Amino acid sequence: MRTARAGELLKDFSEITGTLYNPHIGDWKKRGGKVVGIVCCPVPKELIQAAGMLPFRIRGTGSQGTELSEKFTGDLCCSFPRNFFNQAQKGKLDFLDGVVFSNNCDHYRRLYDNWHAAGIRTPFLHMISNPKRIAEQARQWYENEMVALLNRLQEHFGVTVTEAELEQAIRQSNETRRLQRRLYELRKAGHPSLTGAETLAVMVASTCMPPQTYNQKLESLLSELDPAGGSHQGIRLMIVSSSLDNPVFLTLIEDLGGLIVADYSCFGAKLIGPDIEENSSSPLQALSRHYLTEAISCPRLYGSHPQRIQFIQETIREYKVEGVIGDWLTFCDTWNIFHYMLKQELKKDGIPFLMIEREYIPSFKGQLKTRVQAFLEMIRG
Amino acid sequence: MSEQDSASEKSVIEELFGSITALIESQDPYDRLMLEAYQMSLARTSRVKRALEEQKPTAAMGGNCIPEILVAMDIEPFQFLEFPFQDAILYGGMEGLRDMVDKSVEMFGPHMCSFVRLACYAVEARLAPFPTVVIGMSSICDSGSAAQQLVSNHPDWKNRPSYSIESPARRDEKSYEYIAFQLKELVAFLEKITGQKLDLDKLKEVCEISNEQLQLWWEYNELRRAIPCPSDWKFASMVNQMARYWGIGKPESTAWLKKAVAVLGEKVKAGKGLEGIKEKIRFFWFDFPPIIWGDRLFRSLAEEYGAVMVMDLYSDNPPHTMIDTSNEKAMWMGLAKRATYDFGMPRIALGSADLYRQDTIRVVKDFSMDAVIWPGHKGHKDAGALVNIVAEQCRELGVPLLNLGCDLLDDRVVPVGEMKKKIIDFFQITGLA
Amino acid sequence: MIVAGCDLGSSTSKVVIMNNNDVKAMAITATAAKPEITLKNILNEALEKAQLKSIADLDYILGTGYGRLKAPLFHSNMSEIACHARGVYSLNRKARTIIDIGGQDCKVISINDKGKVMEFSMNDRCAAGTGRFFESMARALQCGLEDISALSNQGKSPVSISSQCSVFAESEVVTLVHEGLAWEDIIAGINNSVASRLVALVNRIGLAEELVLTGGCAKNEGLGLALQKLLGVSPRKLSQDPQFIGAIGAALLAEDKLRDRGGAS
Repeated sequence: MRTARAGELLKDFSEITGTLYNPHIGDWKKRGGKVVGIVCCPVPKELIQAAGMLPFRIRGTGSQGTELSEKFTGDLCCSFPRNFFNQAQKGKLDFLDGVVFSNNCDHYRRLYDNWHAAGIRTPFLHMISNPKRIAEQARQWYENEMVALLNRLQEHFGVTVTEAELEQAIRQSNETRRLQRRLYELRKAGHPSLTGAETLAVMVASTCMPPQTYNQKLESLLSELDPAGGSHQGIRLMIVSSSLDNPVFLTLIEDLGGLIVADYSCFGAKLIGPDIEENSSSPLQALSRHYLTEAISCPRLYGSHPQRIQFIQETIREYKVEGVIGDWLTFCDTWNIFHYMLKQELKKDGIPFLMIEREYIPSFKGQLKTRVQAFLEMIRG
Repeated sequence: MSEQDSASEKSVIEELFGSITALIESQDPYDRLMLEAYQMSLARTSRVKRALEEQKPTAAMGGNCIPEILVAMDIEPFQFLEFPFQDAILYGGMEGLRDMVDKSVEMFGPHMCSFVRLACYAVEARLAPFPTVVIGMSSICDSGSAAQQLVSNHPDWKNRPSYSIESPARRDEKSYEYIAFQLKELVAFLEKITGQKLDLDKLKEVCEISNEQLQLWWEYNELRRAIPCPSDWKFASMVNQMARYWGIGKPESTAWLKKAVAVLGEKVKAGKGLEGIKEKIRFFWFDFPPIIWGDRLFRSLAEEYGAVMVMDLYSDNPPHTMIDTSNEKAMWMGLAKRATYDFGMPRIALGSADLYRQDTIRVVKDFSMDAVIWPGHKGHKDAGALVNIVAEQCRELGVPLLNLGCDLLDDRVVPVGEMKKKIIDFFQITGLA
Repeated sequence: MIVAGCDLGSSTSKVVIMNNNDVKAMAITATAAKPEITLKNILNEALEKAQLKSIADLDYILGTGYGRLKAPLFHSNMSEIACHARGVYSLNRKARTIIDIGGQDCKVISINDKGKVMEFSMNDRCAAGTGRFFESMARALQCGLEDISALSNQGKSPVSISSQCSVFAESEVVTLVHEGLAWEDIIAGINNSVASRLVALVNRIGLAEELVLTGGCAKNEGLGLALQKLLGVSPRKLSQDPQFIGAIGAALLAEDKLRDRGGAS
C-alpha cells in the first residue's frame, strides 16, 4: 500500500499543478528570479534555464471562462489558448517577465499578435518560427531561431549565456527526463501504484517549478513507490491528446472504471522523449536536432506521422493498453486529422478507439460520461 | 462531350454565375471578354484532364504558389479539389456539392475549413485523380498542413512522390533564402521524378511573362478604383486565374489581360459602372469570394441597394517587387517571395497582424471603401483571431466593419438570406443605406 | 428475482419492473429538476402497478440515462448505449443497427449476433437530430409534438429545410409558415432534415440489417418513413414501446447482474 510520505508528495504535486502561481514560483520571484512563459512544446526550455531564468509552460488552470478573450480571438479559436489568454488578461500571468510563443499553430501565432493589443503588460515577448518539416536545412533554420531567442533574452535581461551554462541546462533537463521515465515504468505494472490523474499532476509540475527542486521531489516520490506495483486497477487505457493539463479530466474517466496507464500527450510522454545529446561540440545544434527530429513529434510536423504511429503502437504493447482515447479540443485541425488517421491505424490493429471532443474547461460532462462508460463497457464485453 | 452534358453544364454555371445565354448574346466588349475567359478556363480544364489521362507530368497542389516553375518545366498544375469539386457540381448540381460536403462532415466533423475538408474527403473517397507528383500545402494553414499529412500517409497516395514547401512566419531575406532553397530542392525532385529538366532560360522567360501579367493585373486593379467601379468580382477572379494560376506564362492570357485593361479603361473613361447598377455603397470583402453563393448575395445587394463588392482578398494585388531575372540568385529569391509572400492567403495567413492592418488601410483608401465586410469563414482559424485588430484599424479609418460569419462554400451553415439580412441591417445602422 | 430498470432521461424518465424476464409494470413521467425525486415518484408508481409494497421488494435496481450517476438508489448503473443494445437484442435477435433518438442526443449503435456493442456514434452538442430539434420546430409551428407525428405522413411535396442549425431552422420554418406553405409539407421537411442528420451518424459506423429505432422520437412515423427513404432499409417494429427500450434493457442487465452474483456466491 501507499506510504504516507508518497501520499503527501502526490498531494503536493497536485497542489502545484492546480494553480498558476504556485509557492515555488513565489519563492523564486522573492529571490529576484525571472520567470519566462513558454507556449507549446517547440520552445526549448533549456535556453531559458541556461539564461538563469525559470521556464513556465503556460496553461489556463483555474480559468472560469473566456469572456475577455473572445473579443480578440473570435469564435473559431481553440479553447486552450482562449482560456490562458483570458487568465493573462485577468492578470493571473502577471508574474511572467516574458513570454516566448511558438508558431506551432495558427491559434498561438495569432495570440502573439493579440497579446499586447489586449493590454497584457508582459515586458518581453518573442516568437519562435519553428519549422514544419524534417530536413537538415530546417534544423539549421531552427538553430538560427534559437540563437535569435538567446540573443534577445541576453539583450533584454542583461545576462550572458555561456556554452557551459547551456550544457548544464541540458544535463539538468535530461535528469528530469530520466526520473520521469522511471515514473512511467511504474505504470507498466499489472496494478500500478499511481493513477493516470496522479501521474499527470506529477508531469505538469515539471513545467512550472525550478528543475532542481522538482528533480529532488520526484526522486523522493519514486523512492516511496513500490516498483512491484500498487492497488490501482481498471481497464487499461492510453490517452492521446494535445494540451491535456487537467488531472480532473482523467479522474472523470478513472472514476468510471478506466485506468490511464500511458499517453501520447503534450504534458505527458512528449515532455520526456529521449535525452538531449550531452557534451556535444555544439549544444545549440544538439538542441535543434532534439526538438526537430528526436523528441516525440507533434502531428504538425510534416513527415513525422509514421514515427508517431510507431510510438503509439509500441506504447500500447509495452503498457498492455486495452483501449485508446483520442482527446480532441474543438477547432484544432492538426489533431482532428491526426485522430482520424490514428483511428484507421488502430482499427487495423484491433485496438478500440474512442474520440472525445472537449473544451478546455470541462463541460457537457453528462454526454462525456455516457461515451466513456459505453466505451469501457464495450471493451469489457 | 454530348449535347446533354453541355446543356446540364450550362445550367449549373448559370446557377452559380448568372445567365450564360445573356453573356453569349451580349455585344458588350466586357461581356465578350468574360465569355472568352470562361472558354479559356474550360480549354485549360480539358488540357489538364488530357494530361492526366495520357499520364503526362502533372502536379497536384493544396494551394497555388509556384506556377512559374511548373510552367517552365511543362508540368500541368491543378489543385486537389478542383476536379472532384467540378464533377460534383456538374453532375449533381447544388445537391451534388451538398452531398459531398455532408460526407466530408461525417469524416472530419463540421469545424474544419470546408475547402480543405472536401479535399481530404476527395482523397479518402478516391475521387481525386492521381498526379505525377504532390506538392505540399504546409505553407498556408493548419488544416492544409494536416491534409498534407493525410494525403501522404493514405494507402493509395503513400507511394506518390510528394514534396512539401513550408514558409516561416517571418518576412525577411533569411526567410526568402529558406524558401528559395526549398524551391531549388523541389526542382531537383521534379527533375528526378518526371525526367524533365528545368531550363533556366525558359524559367527566365516565364518569370518575365509573369512579371508582365502581374503588371497588367495591377493596372486592372487601378481601374477598379474608379467610382462607379467598372468591374465585378467574377471578372476579377478570372483576372486572378490568368495572372496567378493557370494563365501564368501563357501569351494568350497576357493578350486577354491587355484587352481587359483596355476595355475597362474605356468604361472608366465613359464613367460606366456595372450594367444596370446604380452604385451607392462600395465594400471590401476581406476573404475569398464565395463562388458557390456569391452571385446570389452580391447580385441582390447590388441590384437592391447599389452595394458593390469592389475588392476581395483573392483579387487584391498588394504592392510588390518584380522578379529580377538579371541573375539566377535574384530570380530564385524573387520566386520565393512571389511564391509565398506576395498574395492572398500565403501572404496574410502566415504573416503578422501588421499585414492585415496595412492591407485594410491600403484597400479602404485606394478603393474608396464605404464599408468592410469580414466574412468570418467558419474555418479560417488564423483570420478569425484577427477580427479585433482589423476592427480597430477600421475604427481608426472611420470605416464601419461587419463581422458576418459564414461558410464560403456551404450556404446551409449560415443561409444567404440570413447574411443578406445582416448586411442590410448593418448598412442601415451605419447610415449607408 | 424482481428487478427494476430505471432510465432517467433528459426529458422523460422511465421505469420497468421485471420478474424473471417478464415485464410486470412500466411507468413514465417528465423528468423534474431533481432526478432523485423523479425517480422516487416514478418507482412508487411502478411498484404500485406491479402490486409490490416497497423498494425493499426489489432485488436489484439498475440505472441508466443522464441521471444515472446522481441517483443514490441504484445498485449499479450502465450507459444508455449498453441498455438500448440489451433491450433491443432481447426483442429482436437479428437487430444489428440501433438508432436511439432521445431528448437531447441521438446515438447509433452497432451490435453483433451476440448482442455485444461493436461501435457507436453520438451527435455532437448540437441539437440537430434530437428531440430538442422537434421541440423547437413544434414551437415554430405552434403545434404539439404529437401533431408532427400525426401529420407527417400526409406531406405530398416536402419542403427542403437547408439550415442545419436548429436556431436558423426555426426561423426558416417560421418563414415557410408565413409564406403559406402546407403544414404537412413543412412537417415532412422537418422529418427529412432530422433523418439526414441521423443518416450521417449511421454512415460513421456503417449500416447493417436489421435496423431498429428506439427512444421517444421513434414513435414519429414520419421520421421512420424519411429514414427508410434515405437508408433504403425499413426499420423493424419492436413488440414493446420504443421509449421504454432503455429501461427494459436496464432491467435485463439488472437480472444479468443478479445472476452473476448468484453464480459467484
